[in-house]
Amino acid sequence: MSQNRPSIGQQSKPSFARQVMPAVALTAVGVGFVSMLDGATSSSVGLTAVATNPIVDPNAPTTIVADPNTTAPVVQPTNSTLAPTPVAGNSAAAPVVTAAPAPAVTAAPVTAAPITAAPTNPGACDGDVVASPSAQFRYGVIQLQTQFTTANVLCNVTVLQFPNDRRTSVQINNYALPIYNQEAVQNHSAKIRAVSGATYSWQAYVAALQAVLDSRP
Amino acid sequence: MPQRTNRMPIRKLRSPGASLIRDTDVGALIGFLTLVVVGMWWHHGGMIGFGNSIVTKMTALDQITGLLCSEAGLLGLILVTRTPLLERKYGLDRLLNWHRLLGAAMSLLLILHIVFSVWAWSTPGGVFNAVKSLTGGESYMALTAAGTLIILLVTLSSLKWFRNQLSYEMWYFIHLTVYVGLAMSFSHQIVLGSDFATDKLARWFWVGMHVFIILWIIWSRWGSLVRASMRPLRVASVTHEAQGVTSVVLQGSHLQQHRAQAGQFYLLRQVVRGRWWRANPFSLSSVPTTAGLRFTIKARGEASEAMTKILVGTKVIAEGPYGVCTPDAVGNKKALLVAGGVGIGPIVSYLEHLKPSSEPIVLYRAHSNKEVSHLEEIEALVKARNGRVHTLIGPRAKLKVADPFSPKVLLKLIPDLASRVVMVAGPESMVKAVQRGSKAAGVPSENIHAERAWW
Repeated sequence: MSQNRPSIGQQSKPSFARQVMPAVALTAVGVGFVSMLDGATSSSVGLTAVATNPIVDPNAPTTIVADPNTTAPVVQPTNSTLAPTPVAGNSAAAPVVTAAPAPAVTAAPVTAAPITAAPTNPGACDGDVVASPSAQFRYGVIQLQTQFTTANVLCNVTVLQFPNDRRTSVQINNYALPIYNQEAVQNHSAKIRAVSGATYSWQAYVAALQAVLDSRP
Repeated sequence: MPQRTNRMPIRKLRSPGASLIRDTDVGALIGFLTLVVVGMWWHHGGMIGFGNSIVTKMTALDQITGLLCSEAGLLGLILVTRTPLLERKYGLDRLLNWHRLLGAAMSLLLILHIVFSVWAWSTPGGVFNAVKSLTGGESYMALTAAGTLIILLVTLSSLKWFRNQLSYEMWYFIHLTVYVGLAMSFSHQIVLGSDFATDKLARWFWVGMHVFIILWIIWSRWGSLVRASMRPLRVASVTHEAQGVTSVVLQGSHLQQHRAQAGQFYLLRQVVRGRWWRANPFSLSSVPTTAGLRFTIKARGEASEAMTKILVGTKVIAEGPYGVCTPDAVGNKKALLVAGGVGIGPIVSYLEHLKPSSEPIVLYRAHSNKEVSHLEEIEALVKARNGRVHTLIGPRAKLKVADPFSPKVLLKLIPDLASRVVMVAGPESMVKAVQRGSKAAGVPSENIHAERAWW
């Protein structure tokens, strides 16, 4: 076979096609490959409207769950809860049945009925409890529960759902989400800084929180 | 069956075939890898980070520098597989040079990767906490940090100053540990690298590419050593040529199947206790034939001195041949061959291969008469090809002209220099002087051929 091949240093000049074809073929393969990858792009956080919002009465010690079929998730709307309660993404234990992911907020979160009793302290964190839409992102879903003062100031955030199917996810989120909760309460807004290593969670968190804030009067 | 080989007529060994690849193929492959790496990063949202805080900016830079660092490392590894596909196109010396450049690029990217990572991670807890989690807090980061340290040490040992402080063996041993360093830092790419931790397709591509390159290294780099070891050659004769210069002829019944050409070199490894583990490059000093491979060796260092003292009958493992600087480059043109010192070896092999129409002119530069070897052989070869020999012997200070390879001197000696193909073998300073001089005298650079001195 190589009998007829020129010896080293005697390569003939390649044709134009021979020069261009490998580049064209490999570029096509490369572009095809990249486009087949999971696209986690700018719209990576998709918010899913909450199909059945849990309406939580802050005065009641236990939570009322809208969907009786699910096993009761324990949601504690207390100020001290910074640690998130991990809830499996798609298991029946989820407090919220998420619909198919939608690219944007399709329905405003339903808020709990205002409390009729006159508040003794307008600064106390005993106003509306609102569940956020589920923010779908690359690693799973983040859903928050927020509480407002009677003056409509964000005063408490707890995490209802976060991705916990991966060890890394649990590690990262256990570390970052309390920080986000704290910052959100401190700033009373969704203007919070990302924790390094938890940027995707941050994107989803901000999206979920912002959706709630946007729905408030 | 030695009896049969003895009866066969002596013939030149067949020349190794030219490589099938082209410059454009290499460019396409590098472009492909870069496209995939940058595309992966982009598609996974690498650019989004730039719109956000400093943390996301740093995270994005951290990812892309990490990916490019890996790419440079992998390309550098491919170059040292010595795969014939690349070697027969570019020559081992150029591959090793590029390997060095890619190694340097990899280390710079690695340092940037570290800086960006620490920066990105330091935002909530400060630099100290960032370093803590990046050297052990995160999964696999302790392993990665150790691997990174190894890679940086290897880089350090290859810097010119450190390299000169170390013996070749010490340096080589340190250099080999880079495999360990790379393997150790691979884990964090898969577990923590946001491009691979979640994207299955990207992960399989990345792992697959690494496996492929590992197999390539095993097959091409270590496999060629195994194949050469299974068919060792033996020293047939040792001839004293001049002061400190010795010719060694290697023979073997497997030479029939060997492919080699004048101007190439082998990595020779004596199978002697204490020496078998190191190989040194030596150029062929005659056209390789089935009768044997001749090497002309000057005792310059410990390894080459041991080679000049080799005993007849010693087993020698010969890896190769390598090198693309062959007399085929002369083609139908006329030739100017410049030899410096023991560089005369490859020049003799070129001469033997040249056609009579090449009318070769040989310039032979040596520091003293005692160093001159193969002179009668050259005179006979040149005479048969209507050429001539000029010797230039003596220490530089005693020469009549300051620069014997200045264009003026060269043109006076060889009026038709510009139409000749120049081939040089000798010490690096002389090679450079000849390249400079002949270029200035009007020889196009594609007609000047020199390979790094191996002997």
